[in-house]
Amino acid sequence: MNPNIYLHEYIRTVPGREEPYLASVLSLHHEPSRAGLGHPAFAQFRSVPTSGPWPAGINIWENTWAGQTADLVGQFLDAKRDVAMEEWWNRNLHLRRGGYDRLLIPADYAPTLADVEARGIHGEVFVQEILWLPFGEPRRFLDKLGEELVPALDRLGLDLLGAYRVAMRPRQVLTLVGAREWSGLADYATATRTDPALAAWSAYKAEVTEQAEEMVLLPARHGPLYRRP
Amino acid sequence: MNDCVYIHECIPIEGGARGKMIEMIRTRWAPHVANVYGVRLLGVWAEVGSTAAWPQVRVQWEMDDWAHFARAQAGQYPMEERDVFVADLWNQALEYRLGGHSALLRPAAFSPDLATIEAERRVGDIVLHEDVRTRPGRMADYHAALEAEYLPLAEARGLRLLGAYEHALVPNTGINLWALSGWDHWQTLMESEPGDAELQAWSDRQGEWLTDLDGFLVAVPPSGALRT
Repeated sequence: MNPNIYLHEYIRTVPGREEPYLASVLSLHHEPSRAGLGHPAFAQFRSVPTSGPWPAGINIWENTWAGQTADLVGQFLDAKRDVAMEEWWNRNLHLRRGGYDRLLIPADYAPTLADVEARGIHGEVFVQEILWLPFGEPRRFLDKLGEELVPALDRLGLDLLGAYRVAMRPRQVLTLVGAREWSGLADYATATRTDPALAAWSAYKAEVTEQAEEMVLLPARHGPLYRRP
Repeated sequence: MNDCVYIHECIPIEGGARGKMIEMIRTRWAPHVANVYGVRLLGVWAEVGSTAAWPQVRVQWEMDDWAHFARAQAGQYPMEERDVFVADLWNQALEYRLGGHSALLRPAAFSPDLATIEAERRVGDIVLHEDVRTRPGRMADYHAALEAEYLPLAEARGLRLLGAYEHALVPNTGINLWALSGWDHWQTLMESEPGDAELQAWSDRQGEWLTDLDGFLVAVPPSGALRT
């Protein structure tokens, strides 16, 4: 059971400024005046021109509804201002142009940050999918993903990093799969046609998906998923 | 019955000017169009970035009916010729925004007008905004179900309807607005959502009428509070 929620931020970075932007986000955690504020970065990615839109950066933060609410109160009410955050936001306008965020509700089996660290999950490349499913399908989809896709990923040596519903957007699910090396992604793509279990999962996914946005992603260099030598 | 006509604006903001754009609309734009044209500001909100696109501002204007809409628009546009103050505001705001996207809306019969919203004090710090797209030709059926089936569920959970609209020019497109009493209210709704069987049943059933629904929050920041 994963009791958390996740803030997923898609950022339209200034071209060529993906890594500086992502590093500047993490730097906020080291701001002396913000000691005790903020939440751990679950993942940070940058786009790669392999599949999906670019340039972009992605931050994912592990949080709770209470923590997320407190963060928003700090942004929108005068009572609990996070001045350092405001100044950081305005100081880094040259690194990003805007973005689009989602609040994610994890499937029970989706790993927490502690799970990710305990399992030593890292990777050279990750695949993010945002799927629009029929109303009522997202919970079934995630149940089926846990039963059918996760064992197949295990066989291939791939990591399920995330499987979520999207709060207030009842048709959307978001998934993240990691490959330790690029060859793992190639093996996965091949296996969706040759591995009977993965082929069956892919057929189901194709049947229920009415719209999809995919991104192939690199872990940010200062982020938690980057494999350091 | 609500015969009003609404213009809903979505305004992407340049840089850190979201608070400045909101203040300009509150303190200068809205008083001007109210005084000169009788156009009422139903709301000006900051989109809550953690739930949607950022940085963006949402604005909604109310007019009595289509005749009032025509008079107000004809009075202002083309602004360079007819309204020097709006023209000046428009150009000053280029520092804050370069473009936007507006929608001309007509309300469902059960949608309250601004006078009702104010009289019944349907207000709060935050609003749940829902963009809805219906299956072809099903907007009226959706609104009927929304009123008969969802409205009681929503009110039982403390949500107050601010508006349920259909686009006057784009078929099968609409917006719902729900007032929440505050951030704690939203937290409670989110925490209870996974186990709320009644809401889940309604949510799952919406596919009968809808092809999509995107919900996100917009906030009513106190004057001067928003510095990003």
